[in-house]
Amino acid sequence: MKKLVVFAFLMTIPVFASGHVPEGYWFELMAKSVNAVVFFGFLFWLLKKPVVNALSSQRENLSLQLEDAERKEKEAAARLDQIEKRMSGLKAEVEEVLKKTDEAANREKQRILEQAKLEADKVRSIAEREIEIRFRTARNELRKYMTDLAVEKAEAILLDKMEPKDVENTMMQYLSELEV
Amino acid sequence: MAGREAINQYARAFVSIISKREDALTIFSEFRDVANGLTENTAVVHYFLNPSILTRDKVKMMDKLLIDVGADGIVRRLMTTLVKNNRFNILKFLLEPTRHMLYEELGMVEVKLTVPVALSKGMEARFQAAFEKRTGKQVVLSTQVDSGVIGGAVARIGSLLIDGSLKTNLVKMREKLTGEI
Repeated sequence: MKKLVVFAFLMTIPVFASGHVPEGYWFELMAKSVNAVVFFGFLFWLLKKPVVNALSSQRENLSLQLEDAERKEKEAAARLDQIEKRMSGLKAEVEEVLKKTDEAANREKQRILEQAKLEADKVRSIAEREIEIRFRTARNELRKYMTDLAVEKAEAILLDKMEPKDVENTMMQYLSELEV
Repeated sequence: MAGREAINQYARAFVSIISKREDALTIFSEFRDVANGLTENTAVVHYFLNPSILTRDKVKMMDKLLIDVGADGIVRRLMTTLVKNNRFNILKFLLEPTRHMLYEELGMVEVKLTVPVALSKGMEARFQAAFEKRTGKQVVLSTQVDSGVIGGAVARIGSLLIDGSLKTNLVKMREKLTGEI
């Protein structure tokens, strides 16, 4: 209303500026003012609802957008939290896997060591037996060689040192045994 | 074995004839000399084994040879029979079985004595007496000198071996020592 009065006042300014008020001016001014009021009232009536609706819709839209953004932010936070949780779980899982792998590796290592020890014992046992056999064989061969050598030497000494009389004595001994 | 059977048959027949004679050993010696002389001569052996020569000619040749050397009739008959029957190839295998059968028939035994040095007559007689006492038979002693015996002696009577040599004692000693391993 205040704005309307100010508007009406402003419409009179040119008249006062000229210093002369024409006849019928006030009536015309009144009529124009009424027209203006009617025009603006009609305009207000006509545009009020769409403008309000448009503004309301825009507000609602903005509100929805804000809500959506908030929701998305919450979702993102939740996902982030989930991911962080998962990451922390993953770390624990990784540690668990590493621990299990480490244990399995240790068990395998232990098994391999035991197996290797068994194999080594077996090889050592076989080697000891082989050494014993070879040692015994070598000892037997050496003893046989020494015996052969001793007998050959004895034979050579007998052939070399025996006098005809000694040989005859051996034959006499044989004969004596034959005559018994 | 046909060859061995034939050898034994001929040996048995020959021994059965000569064993009845007093000079059986002399006849056997003659047979041995003739057999050795013929089988050691390659040309003679080839002649009597040659299939292209008639048996009749071989018989005549054998008879002539034996007459020339003055062989006894029984020896001649044995040899010509062998030729006639194409058995000249068994002649060299006939000696041992014949001697063995003859000695057995005459109650004799052959002793092969191996000694390191040659025996004196006295020692030989003592050995013979000892073997005769041991076997209970008349002994035909054949000695062989082998210095490898070293000392003592080795006697073989048929399949029996009486080994008292120093060589064998050394071998036994070696076996005993190595046997202890």
